[in-house]
Amino acid sequence: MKKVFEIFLGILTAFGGFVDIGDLVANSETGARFGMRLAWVVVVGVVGIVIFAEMSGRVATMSKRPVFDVIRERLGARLALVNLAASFFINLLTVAAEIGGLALVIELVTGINYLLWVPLVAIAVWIVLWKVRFSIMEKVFGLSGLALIVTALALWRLDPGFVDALASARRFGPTSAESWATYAFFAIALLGAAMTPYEVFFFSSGAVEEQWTRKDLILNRANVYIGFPLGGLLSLAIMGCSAALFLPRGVSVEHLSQVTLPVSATLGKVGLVFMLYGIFAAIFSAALETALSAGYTVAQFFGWQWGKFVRSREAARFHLVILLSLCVAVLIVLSTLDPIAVTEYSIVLSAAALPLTYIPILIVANDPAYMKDKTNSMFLNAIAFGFLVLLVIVSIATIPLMIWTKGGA
Amino acid sequence: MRLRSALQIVALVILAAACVAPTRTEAAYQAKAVDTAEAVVSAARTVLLIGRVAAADRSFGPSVAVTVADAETDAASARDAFASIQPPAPSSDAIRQDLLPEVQRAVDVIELVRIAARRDQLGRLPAIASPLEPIAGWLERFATRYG
Repeated sequence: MKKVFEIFLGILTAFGGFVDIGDLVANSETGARFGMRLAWVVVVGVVGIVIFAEMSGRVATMSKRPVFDVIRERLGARLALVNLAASFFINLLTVAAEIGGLALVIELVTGINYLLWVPLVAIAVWIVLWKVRFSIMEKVFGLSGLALIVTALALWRLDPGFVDALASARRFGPTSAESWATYAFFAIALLGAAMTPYEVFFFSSGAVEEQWTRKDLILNRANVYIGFPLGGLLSLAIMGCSAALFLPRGVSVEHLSQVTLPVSATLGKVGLVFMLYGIFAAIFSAALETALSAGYTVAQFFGWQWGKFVRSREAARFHLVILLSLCVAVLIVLSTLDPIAVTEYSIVLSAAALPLTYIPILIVANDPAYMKDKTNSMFLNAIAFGFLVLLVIVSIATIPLMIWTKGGA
Repeated sequence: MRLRSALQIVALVILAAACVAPTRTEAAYQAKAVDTAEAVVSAARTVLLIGRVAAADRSFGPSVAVTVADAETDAASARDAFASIQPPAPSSDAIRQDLLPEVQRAVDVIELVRIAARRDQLGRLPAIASPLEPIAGWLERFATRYG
């Protein structure tokens, strides 16, 4: 019974913790510009992150070594250093985006400029990382993110926009007002939002943090096979709300304040309270995960002691990297760069960098020396190699498309 | 010496990048005008929406004020960006003369909505924002004509 409860809790945590600032921004923007015509990308992205995270969790459980440790061993120190630099930079942008997003949520509640909240939010994130146990931290914020279910209720109430929005999901290609290049660019943004590398660093390091054994592989599968797709439904609901309310009015989504409008328009103040709480919890959870991922990647690459399963003093360099990453993230946001623009760039660059971590994990997941009898099945490999081709194409196309469409303008 | 030259070139490139890009053709100028009109339509319709939501007591004062202020920033940025572009030919002046006054009117109305929202006069927002409806309609027709 205890095991069933643990699995159920794990699923809910993965469900509530799926959405972050990248998903909120990308899905809202896309819904307002393309309706649900890019909903299929969310489905593809969820399948991708399910495969990626499941393999990473399994690799970490079987080898007792997290992603970046394995990447360094498989790629060699030099190539892995390039990988680390790219992954760390994109992760740092994501930390900045999450910190900025948290400050924007508090601005929506208080009306006080978000820049004033940025240092306080970063301090709060750091205190939680320093003081709170890994399992509590993961569950409390993941479960609180479930408040975002209000977006699904709001979508239901947005009749007749709801019906039109769903109907547009059956159409492939851009609306008459948009080009194919912009359509492709937003498809990449959605894929990047669904398949952020930090989720994998966090997930696999978490498996080591929580000392998963072979018996916990079922928990790994339940989290990713059930929790992530449910989280994907939330992403689709956010897109649907935006499609139903904004697309017919010619409104483009540029701010977090607009993301909450469909909920307050349909569910009033109570809905808005849930929405703001859910956004805050989801972004706070992502801020913790990205900040930890900064420490994980660097410490695992250099072979330092890492993790929250040891006392902070024993993993001093790991905690120092986290602290410095948070400081740099604060400086990025305080430079008055628009946090939403930072988010947009972080998710698009995440998509471009995905093969860097995906390829080594795919190789190791097929290596019996690490995995013993838990290597990938033929079926999983067929899908995983299909994704590899897709991710390589996305990686090549991202920067030219970004320049061609002026960042999707 | 070589380093100094390189730094000077980098500084020049950065300075040049900070300037507003010139439009060489009338078509490019029209495209920028359409982008401006669409950006202001988006801001105006956002304000109309949040005004109705606020008047129906479906949102909180700070959220409403922030939403309106964000829309104001968007509209004002679009206005400033377009106003700073040199029309490529005298024939482009008509587009500028048509568009800018309407955009300015939209910004002025959004400003009034923001002032009322900050004073927590949420019930008055739909009335104050009402001129935005015809302005948005005009801008939409403008975008269709030149788009």
